[in-house]
Amino acid sequence: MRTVLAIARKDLRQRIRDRSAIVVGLIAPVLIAGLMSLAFSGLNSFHFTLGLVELDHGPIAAELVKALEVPQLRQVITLRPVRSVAVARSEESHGEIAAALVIPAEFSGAATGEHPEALTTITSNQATVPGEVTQSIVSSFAAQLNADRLSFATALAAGAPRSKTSELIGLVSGLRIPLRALERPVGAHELKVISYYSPGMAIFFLLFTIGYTARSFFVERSQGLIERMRAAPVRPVEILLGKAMSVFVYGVVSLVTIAVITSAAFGADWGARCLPSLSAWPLSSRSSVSRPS
Amino acid sequence: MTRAPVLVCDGLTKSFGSRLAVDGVGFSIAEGEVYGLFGPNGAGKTTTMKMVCGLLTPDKGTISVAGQQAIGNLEVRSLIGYVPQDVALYPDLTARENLEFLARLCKLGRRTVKARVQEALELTELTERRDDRLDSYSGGMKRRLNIAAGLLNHPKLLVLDEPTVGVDPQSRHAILERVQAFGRDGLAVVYTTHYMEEAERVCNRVGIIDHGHLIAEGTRRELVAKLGEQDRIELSATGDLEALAAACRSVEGVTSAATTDNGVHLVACEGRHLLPAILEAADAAGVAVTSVDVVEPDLEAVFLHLTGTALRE
Repeated sequence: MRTVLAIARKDLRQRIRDRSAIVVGLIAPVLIAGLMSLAFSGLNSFHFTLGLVELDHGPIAAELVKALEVPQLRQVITLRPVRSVAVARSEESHGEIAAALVIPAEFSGAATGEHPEALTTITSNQATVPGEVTQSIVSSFAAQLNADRLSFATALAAGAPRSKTSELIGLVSGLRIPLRALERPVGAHELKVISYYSPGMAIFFLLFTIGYTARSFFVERSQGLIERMRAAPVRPVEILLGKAMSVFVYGVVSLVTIAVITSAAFGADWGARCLPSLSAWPLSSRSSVSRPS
Repeated sequence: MTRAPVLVCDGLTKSFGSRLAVDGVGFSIAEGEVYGLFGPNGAGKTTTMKMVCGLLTPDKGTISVAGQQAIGNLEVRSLIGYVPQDVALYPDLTARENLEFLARLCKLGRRTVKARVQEALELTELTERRDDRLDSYSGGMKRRLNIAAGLLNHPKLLVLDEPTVGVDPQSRHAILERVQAFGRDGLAVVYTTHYMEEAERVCNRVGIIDHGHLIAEGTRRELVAKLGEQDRIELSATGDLEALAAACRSVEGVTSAATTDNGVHLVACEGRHLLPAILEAADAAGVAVTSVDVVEPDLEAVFLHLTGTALRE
């Protein structure tokens, strides 16, 4: 064991003196994770402005607007009233709104009649996600509306007196579709880019560290240093273990340092992400160094 | 009184694929003896040394160090000090760190490590610069440290594999002095070299190795005696040297002739008396001889006599 420790200590000493190893093991991952975080900081939460062209002003349109203003969607959508479809298109093309929802005139009236009016979503090819989110909300609302219509029609067909229409409407409006796909707003749980990139960069650069160790082994072999070690009463496995230990220690120190710096400086959340990678370390570092012949 | 043998090799054979590098080499070295393994590059010297140090396993043969069977025996390595041909030290570590590391590999205790490192630094006169990184050292200093590193375990057998290759004359002189001193101190030393003058100067006995065979062994006097009354003649010449060598061989009394970089080396009986005939033969071959030296027989002449070729670089 003393021999293993001596080899590990010697390797670590060399590693610390090698500036390129410090750059690869510490500076580069922190720098790149920080730059990535800055570059993608706009993606930490998802939010857009939805133009609302409300041409109906009826009760069902009001229900739809209410559905768009629920507290869960407040972090995702800001509603902005727009006068007309033309203005909505103009604002969308100028980037003032990300998408627009058009509630046509007579929408509420048509919803209870034979020929319901269609809700229109104006979206752009460049920002498809806001359009998809809007479409999803509207589809959910339309599904509920259609279910209400169907329930009402079924009740009438089953012989319910038309004189009790208002009671029926009250009952129907209390029903909810029992099975439906629920959408969780993205912005409700903030995803920090730095929390993703810090462990990613740390592990990515750790691969370089392993590669560096393997390379240094072959350099030592070509310089006759491994041979000199083997001329002493040292087993080949002790040389391998010493080298594996040094890369393990260096890797752990590198990971911990990066975790501390990125957490303190950028607020990265490491959680338990690094634990699986740490446990995989001894195996990966040992397999990268071949047994001396 | 016969001194106890420290190293006994018998029938060592090693092949690399189809190439036979060492074939049945056997020799023994007593304590206090400096044994030279002399031969050209590629003769099998380093392969033999690596087998002695346990770095290569022989295909056949036995090795015994201080009475212990050495092949596959890890403990025996603590009795051997190995100094490789190239400087095998870490350039980014200081002299002290290098020596401490290598001493620890010899399983020495902490206090012993400290004492041995100090001893090695004093031996190499590098105490003042012990905390300087090795890449700031001169070639000679690195060589000295390389040798001192082989002594950290106080070995019974010191193996020096061409320790003066690429060394300046001053450092070379210092190294040879040191090797002679090791022998006087009772250490058994194996010294491989392809420099004839080194083998003659430092070794008590010399083994001449060529193409993996140990072709002769003995003291310098014993080996030179193999030549009998023969002299070595060095001809410097310009022109067709092969033709000159062939012409010299035809002269009666010349036993061998081999070309060198700038002339021909001859071994001949009563060399001085043959000079007129040799020069005449050179003239007939159309080669201009620029200088002639008749020198006392040495190991190079022995090598030439035994192999029929001059020493290869």
